[in-house]
Amino acid sequence: MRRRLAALCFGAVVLAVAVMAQDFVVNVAPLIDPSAFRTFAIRSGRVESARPEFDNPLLVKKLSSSIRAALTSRGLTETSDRPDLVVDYVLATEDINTISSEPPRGPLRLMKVSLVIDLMAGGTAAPVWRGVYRDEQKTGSRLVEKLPEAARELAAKFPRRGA
Amino acid sequence: MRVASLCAAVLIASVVVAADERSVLFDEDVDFSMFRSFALRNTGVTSDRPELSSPLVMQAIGDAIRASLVGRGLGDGGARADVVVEYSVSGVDFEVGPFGRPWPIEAGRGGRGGRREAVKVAFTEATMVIDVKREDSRALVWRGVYRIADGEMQKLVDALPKNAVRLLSQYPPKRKGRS
Repeated sequence: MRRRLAALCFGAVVLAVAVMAQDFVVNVAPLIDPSAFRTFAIRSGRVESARPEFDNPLLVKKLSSSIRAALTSRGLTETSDRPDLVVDYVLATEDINTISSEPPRGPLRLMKVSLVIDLMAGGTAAPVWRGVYRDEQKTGSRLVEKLPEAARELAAKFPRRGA
Repeated sequence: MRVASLCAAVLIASVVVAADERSVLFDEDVDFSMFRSFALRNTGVTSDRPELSSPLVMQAIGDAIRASLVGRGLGDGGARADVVVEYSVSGVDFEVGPFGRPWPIEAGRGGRGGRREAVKVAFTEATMVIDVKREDSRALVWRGVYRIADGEMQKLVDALPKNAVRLLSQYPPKRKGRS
């Protein structure tokens, strides 16, 4: 009986963790060697959210700092003078109204977030590199805490220069 | 048995945490010790609920913010303040559908399909935002957000001033690398 109860509880915890999954995905344009680029500039950071903890210039500044630090650590140099790569990013949030699958069952509000970072080569509209981060949590405050580090981790997936 | 108790505690905690949350963001490049005085500004409340849109609620929040900032050494500077502290509250009512899913009840209409008479408010989600802006440039330098969802309006209304104080306990923010 004890073992069954423990197994049931363990399963519920695993399920709860699975609901709050995060994901990093990277796309690279074919026939382009991203490691050949040397300089970058952050052009725009946009937030599409009605939530005040996301829709504010303080979070945008934190995300820009994280992305800047990550790209610099990959061997790129920030410049405002004809950069090889232009960085645009969009952060979007979505409220999910659902039902808790674990006891106590009941109404559950979840928060989904997606961060898309595009790196465009000078003059082109299509990105040569795109990174997407998705996450889902029960509270927006947890996502606000995680986002700067997630942005850094995502941008750090850009290939190291000369690698 | 210990494992079961631990798992149960984790689950209960995660449900409790979801009912009430706080976020604080600030500009790391700003020296907050330069700000000595503040001016308080109520930027309004958005809610269909008279218990929440009451001027008394906003007054209680304003008093809590003022006391908290004065307790942190800032002066109530009126028109010559270094920073403007703006606070606002918004509330959204939710109904719970037949299968247990929550739905926001939009202002001025009923729930799904406009069934105003059929709507029973299951809980209300209130969001309080406290902004600290530089008086000279109006640039946002600090933001605290508190969100609570509860079926008991009294509990929700009472939580707002208390949590204004809790948010402002993180003002001024501690700077990284400072000893």
